[in-house]
Amino acid sequence: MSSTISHLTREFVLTRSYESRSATIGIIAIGLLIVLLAQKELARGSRTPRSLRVLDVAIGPLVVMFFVIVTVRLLHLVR
Amino acid sequence: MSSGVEAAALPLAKFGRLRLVALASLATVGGAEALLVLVGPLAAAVVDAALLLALALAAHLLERRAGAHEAVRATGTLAVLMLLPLLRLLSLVMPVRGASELGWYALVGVPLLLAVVLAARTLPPEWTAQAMFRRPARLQAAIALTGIPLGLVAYLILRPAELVRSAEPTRLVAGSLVLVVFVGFTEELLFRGLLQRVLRELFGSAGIALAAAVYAVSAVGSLSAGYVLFAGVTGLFFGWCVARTRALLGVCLAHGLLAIGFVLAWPLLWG
Repeated sequence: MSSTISHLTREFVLTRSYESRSATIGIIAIGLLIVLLAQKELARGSRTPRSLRVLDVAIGPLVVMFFVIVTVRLLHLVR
Repeated sequence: MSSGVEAAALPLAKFGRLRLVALASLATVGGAEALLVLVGPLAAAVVDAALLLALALAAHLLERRAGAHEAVRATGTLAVLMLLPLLRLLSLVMPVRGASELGWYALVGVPLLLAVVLAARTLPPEWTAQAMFRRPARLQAAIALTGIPLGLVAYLILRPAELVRSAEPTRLVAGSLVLVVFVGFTEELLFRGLLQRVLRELFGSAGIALAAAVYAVSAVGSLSAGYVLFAGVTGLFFGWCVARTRALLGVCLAHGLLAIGFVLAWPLLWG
């Protein structure tokens, strides 16, 4: 156990299906990703490259999360 | 520390607005962790997502109002603060039940490490110039070895179940590598390398205690007051080591050894 995987997160993963988690918290994360991508596009003309990089701090990992969610759900569908 | 980097720090008065934003963010992270325990993961995720969005907007506003030099510091600080809600969102969504529990650390750790690298790129270059390997190797090795007894203490407090059922060498080596990279290095780069760095810039020496407090709060998911206290004391010790030696390598390895002992070694040897 660590800050990343605690007793509570472990219980949450083991007691809830991936469909349930991705349809609740996953949706929140994907919604956040869409808002941040829109914010980045809107701000592209008016902000410095450095400040746009701040948005990338959240956008990069959320994109990885998005692809994991889609891949796992597709695999569940195929099975 | 009396480095040139710290000598170049702005007077505290100029940080007023940024300090308020940082304190509000840390309080919100604490609130989200409390919600995780008291209400559930969904409530915590909503608060963490809202905080991420608020920090992104705050970066925009602070940049417009601050001068060019201050804007670099402000945006960098906010980028580092974004890592905390991001950590929790990733830990709730990324683990997949079909993967091994050791694999969960990698699933959460890969995007988190990516975020840490992206956040480091937003900081002033002199802040991230702190070399990991330039301090005396013997001292860093001594710091690293403290991870062994710390791992035993953590195990005795929580007594986690075995993640590897038998002492199969391949699994132990692979598991150890995952824990060193995605727990030891990733968490230390986040909490001591970046968070403590920006909090020290804002609050002076109190930044070490603040970073340790945030680290302890992130352990409330263990549901053990003893473990939260242990995390706080360990965070203070690691923070002090980094402040004294100005190097991260020792604490990264110590944290890795702590995690290996806690999750892999001590459950096999003691359990």
